[in-house]
Amino acid sequence: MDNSVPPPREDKIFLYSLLPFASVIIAALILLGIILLDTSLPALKEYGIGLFMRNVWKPREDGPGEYGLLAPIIGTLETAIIAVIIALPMSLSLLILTEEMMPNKWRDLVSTLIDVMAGLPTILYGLWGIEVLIPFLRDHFMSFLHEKIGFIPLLSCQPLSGSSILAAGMLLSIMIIPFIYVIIRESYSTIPQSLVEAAIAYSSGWRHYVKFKIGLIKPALLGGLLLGFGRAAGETVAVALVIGNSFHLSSCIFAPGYTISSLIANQFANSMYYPLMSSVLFAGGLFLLSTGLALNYAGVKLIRRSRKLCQAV
Amino acid sequence: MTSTSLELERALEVKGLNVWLGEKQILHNITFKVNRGEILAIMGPSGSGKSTLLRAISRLLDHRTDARVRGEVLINGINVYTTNPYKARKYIGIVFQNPNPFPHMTIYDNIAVGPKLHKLVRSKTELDNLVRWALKSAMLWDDVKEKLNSYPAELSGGQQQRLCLARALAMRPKLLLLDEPTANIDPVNAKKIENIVKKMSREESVAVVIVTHTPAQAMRISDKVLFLFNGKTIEYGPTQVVASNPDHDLTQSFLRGEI
Repeated sequence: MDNSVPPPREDKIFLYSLLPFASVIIAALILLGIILLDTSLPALKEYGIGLFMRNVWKPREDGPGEYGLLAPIIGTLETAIIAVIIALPMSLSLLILTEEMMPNKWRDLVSTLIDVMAGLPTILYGLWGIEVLIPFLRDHFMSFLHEKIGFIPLLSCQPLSGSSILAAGMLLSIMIIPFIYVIIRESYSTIPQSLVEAAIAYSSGWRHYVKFKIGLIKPALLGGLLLGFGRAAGETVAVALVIGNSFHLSSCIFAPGYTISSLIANQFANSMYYPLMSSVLFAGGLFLLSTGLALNYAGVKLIRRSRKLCQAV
Repeated sequence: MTSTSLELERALEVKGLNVWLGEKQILHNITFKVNRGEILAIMGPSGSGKSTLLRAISRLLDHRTDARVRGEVLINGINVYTTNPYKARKYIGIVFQNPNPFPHMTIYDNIAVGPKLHKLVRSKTELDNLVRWALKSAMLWDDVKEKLNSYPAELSGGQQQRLCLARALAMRPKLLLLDEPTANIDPVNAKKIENIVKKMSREESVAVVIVTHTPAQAMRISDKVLFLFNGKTIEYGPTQVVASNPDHDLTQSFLRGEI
C-alpha cells in the first residue's frame, strides 16, 4: 500500500528479520527465469525462432537432431481454449445458482464442495478422464458429431482411441471451472450493497438484475478466464493421460495431440540420451513461463480493476 | 368508498406496515398516505427505522433473507406485495444515501438504462430527449453535456448524487423515494437537490418521500412529516402543525436537536 505508515524504529529489526522470507520467493522466480533461459539457450541458438514455428521431432543420439515445438504449442492453446469456452458458461451458471437462487444452507454446501474440488490433486481427474470421459466421448459424442457434421474441419477426422485434444480440453474445463468459479464468486459476493440495491431498483426483472451485477464484475470475469486459461495451459499429468501424446498437427479436435507440459513430462526422462533435447524442453518451459506470466499478470490486474471499480462509489 | 379520482390522487398508501429483521421488529404498524405533488418527510434519529421503511415500500428487503414484512403498501392503488416487484418499481425512482451511480456505465447509460429496460421509450431520439430532460431537471446538464460518454468516477460526490437523482427522474416516476439524499454531500449540492425535489413535486406532480435526520431539512421542503422513533410513529401531520405545535414531548426534543 502506498499510504502505509512506516513502523517505529524499534520494530525495524523485526521488519528486517522478515525480509529474507519475502526475498527468497521473489528470488526463486527470477532464478527460475534465468535458469530456463540459460538451459534453453543451446536449442535457441541451434534452431532460432524456428523452434517455435516448425513441427518436427527427430531426435538423434549422435547429432543435434531436428526439433520444432509448433504442435505442442498449438495443442496447448487449443486445449486451453476449449477448456475456457466450456468453463465460462458453466462457472457463470454455478455462480448464479449458488449466489442468487439457492437457500443459504445449500449454497454453503455447494460452494464448499466446489472450493474443495478446486484443490484436489489433478491426477485424480486424469484417472477419471481415462476411465470414464474418454470411452464416453469416443462412443457417444465424437462418432456421432463426426457422422452428422463432420464437414466442419474441427470435427473432420475419424475418432480413434478417444484420446484427443477435445478430451484434454474437456478434462481441463472440469479442472478450471471450480478455479474460475472461486475467483468470480469473490468479486460477485463483494459487490457493495448500495450498488446491489441500485441494480434492483432499476432492473425490470430478475434476469436484468443478474445481468447488471455480472456487468459490474466483467473485468474480474475476464481476469478469471485468463487465470483459468493459464492454469489449463500449465496442467500436466492429467493432460498427458488423455491427450494421446502425438506430434500430429491437425485442425481436428478428435485427433490426439501434445501440449508443452505433457511433452516435457513425457520426454524428460529420455532427453538425457539426446544432445539437444533437454534444452528444447527447457525452451518449451520458457514459453510456458512467459505466456503464464503475461496471462496471470493481466488476469490479476483485471480482477483488481474490478474491485477498484466497485469501491469507487 | 374512495372514488377513482381520489385513488389516482393517492400515489402511495402504507397501511399497518410491520417489518422484522431477524427476530427484531424494526417497524411497528406504520400507516400514512402521500398524494401526488406532495412531499412527505420521514424524520427521526438514526436507528429509528427510516431507511428500512423506504426499503419496505420499494421491496428492496426481498433480497434480505432475514426480513419479514406484514401490512400493505399501495403504489398508484396497486399492492406492491402482491405484484411483481420489478413491475411495481417501474413507478418509483429511488435515490440512496450514498451516491451509487453504476461505475461500469457511462453517464449517459446510467440514466438511459432504467427507461430502456422498462421500455419507457420507443426510439433513440426519445431516449436522448429523456436523458437530456433528466439531466437538466437535476441541474447537471451544463456540467456533463460535453462528457456524456465518460464514466461517473470523473464527477464529484455531489455531482454523482445529482446523477443518481437524474437516473431516478428519467423513470418519470409517480413516486420518488429519497433516503437521506443530502447526508453525505456538500451544502451547495444539498441545496440544489432540495430545490430540484421541490420543483419536481410542484411541476410534475411527483409524490415524494424523503428520509432525513435533520429537522431543518424536513421543515424546509415537506408538506407533511412523519416522526419515527424506535420504529413507531410518534407524530404524523402537516409540517406547519407539527413544527409549531407538536403533540409529543419526543417530537419537541427532536426538533430542538436534543435526540
